[in-house]
Amino acid sequence: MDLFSSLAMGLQVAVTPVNLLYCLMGVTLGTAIGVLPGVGPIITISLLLPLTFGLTPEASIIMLAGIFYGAAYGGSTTSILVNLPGEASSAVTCIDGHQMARQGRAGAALAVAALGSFFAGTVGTLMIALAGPPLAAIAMRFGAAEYAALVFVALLSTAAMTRGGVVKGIGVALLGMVFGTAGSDVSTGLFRFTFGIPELRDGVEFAVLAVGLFAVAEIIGNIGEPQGQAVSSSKIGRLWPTRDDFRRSWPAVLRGTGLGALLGVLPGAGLAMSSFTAYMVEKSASKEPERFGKGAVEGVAAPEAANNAASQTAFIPTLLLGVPGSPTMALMLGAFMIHGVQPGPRMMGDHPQLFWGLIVSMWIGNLLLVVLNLPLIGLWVRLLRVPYHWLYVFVLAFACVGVFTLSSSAFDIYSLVFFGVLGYLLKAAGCNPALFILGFILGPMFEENFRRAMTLSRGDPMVFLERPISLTLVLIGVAVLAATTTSFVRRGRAEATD
Amino acid sequence: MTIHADLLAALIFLVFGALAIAIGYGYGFGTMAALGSGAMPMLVGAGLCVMGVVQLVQTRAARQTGEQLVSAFSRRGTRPLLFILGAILAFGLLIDRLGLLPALAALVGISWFADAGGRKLELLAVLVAVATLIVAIFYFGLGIPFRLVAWRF
Repeated sequence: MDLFSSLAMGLQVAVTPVNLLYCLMGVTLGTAIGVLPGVGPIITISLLLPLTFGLTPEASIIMLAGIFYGAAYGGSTTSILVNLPGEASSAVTCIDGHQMARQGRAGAALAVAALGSFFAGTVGTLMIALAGPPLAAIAMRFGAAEYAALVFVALLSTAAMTRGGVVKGIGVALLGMVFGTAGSDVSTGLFRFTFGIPELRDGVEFAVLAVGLFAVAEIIGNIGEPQGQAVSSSKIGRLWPTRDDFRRSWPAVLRGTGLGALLGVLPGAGLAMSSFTAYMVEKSASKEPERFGKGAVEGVAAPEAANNAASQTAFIPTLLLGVPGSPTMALMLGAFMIHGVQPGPRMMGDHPQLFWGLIVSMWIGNLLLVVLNLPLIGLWVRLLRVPYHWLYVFVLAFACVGVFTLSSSAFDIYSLVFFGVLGYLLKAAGCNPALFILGFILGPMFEENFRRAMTLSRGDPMVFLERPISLTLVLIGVAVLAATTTSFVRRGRAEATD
Repeated sequence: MTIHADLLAALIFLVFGALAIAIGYGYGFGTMAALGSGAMPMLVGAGLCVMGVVQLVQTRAARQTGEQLVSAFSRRGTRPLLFILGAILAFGLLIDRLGLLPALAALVGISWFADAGGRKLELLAVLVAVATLIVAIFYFGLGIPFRLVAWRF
């Protein structure tokens, strides 16, 4: 089937009224949480996971994806208007975006961010569509050894790139893998780590784990932290950018898009890294670098394009290889698995409706974001005034009721307490609980393929180094690990997270 | 001795690593050509222990250079921890016995005091707002058959 007929089929799925509605809900929710500080896409997606059981796979995935890229978008609004990034990925937009706002050019900054993001989103979506068939064809030839190596690399490089240090990163990912082994062993049927509790026989419920680690632990950590008080005094001003803005920003958008699209595919790089890198590249490529930090429109256009392109292309490894490159993508993968869909090279053939429907809906979602966001900016800014002690009570109630609906059992609620405590401890220890999710999702995949590869090679572990693809992957993993110990990457990461 | 972040991480890794090895041992390692159910827990557990030890060594090195180490637990964090977890626990205990609305009331009523900032009158408003929203979304919107109020002890 050629690209156009595939896209046409996707369009048919995406424009059904139900799916359009969920796409709209997703991007609206995503924008709202992008604006609200302290509530991010990871929390929101985990909160909504229990609710998506009742929906069709298409509708639920379309909505969750909308939340993900909507949040990348919404964060820029508050960065520009009130100098408060809702998301880490838009922190760098604050630098020049807020300066523009102070010069009375907030409208132009917002419009450049919106249009740049839309362009980048379109390119990103197109890249998934183009990369899909050939990449899936390559991945189809992967054997157990290659898959085990791939999962290994994804885990290792994500763990190594995450803030907090390599040792902690790998440790938390391994901890997630331990929890991933709970439940009945697929090869032998033996119940592992169930401690005689019947509810644990199918393993730890993913949605409960996610809500406990993120929503509950985040609330506990956020209460008592002084909340930044947002006061927006700047006028939005003229919305349409000047001719000069256009002339300056289009090359920046192009560069940002390219960079973001590439970095989005890499495991562990993430949105924050892509927008930060795009800003740095733009500053060093500019003929007048002194304008940066004083309201240069390129400083808004490039990072916004980059983080939006990256948020699209992050779906490439997740959908096509079944290996998520970031914790948010691991949550998305979990959402697919809740509906019995295993992302990977076979997905395009087995569930073409879902695959192409999602891709087209992402483009529609990006369009909706532009149409919705620019006129509604005033409304979003008002959201900033919701006090946190109202917000957390509602989030907590939503979390508990949502988790209870999974199987109407109080056991899930008690598990929530357990994972809340675990999440709190991990945070106190300076470990990123998001990596736990990645280990939890990738652990069972690794175990299955690792055991199969070992059986096929009659117990010879050299199998991972003898096959060329597998060897390359292992070498990449080692190289990433070595690279993160050098000062350059460390410094870049430190600056990106500051 | 203060438990600071790095030491806490090392402890978590070592405890769970040791547990995974000990329990995994009971499931059987199998042979290299036919790895048993216990192989992965034991391997991952060993990895965790290694990370724990490396973290300990790093911590020790940091201590010797005289780095200022801050405790991982702040006094300010204890109150939210206890109230939020208590609220969830109360919800779990009440939902089957008394139904959704009393459980929600307990959840909101307890968790409200996790933050020292809120006033009592506001609590009533939040309670009504949360109960209305949750019932609207889950009971009417999604049609989940909750018992709103029940009496089962």
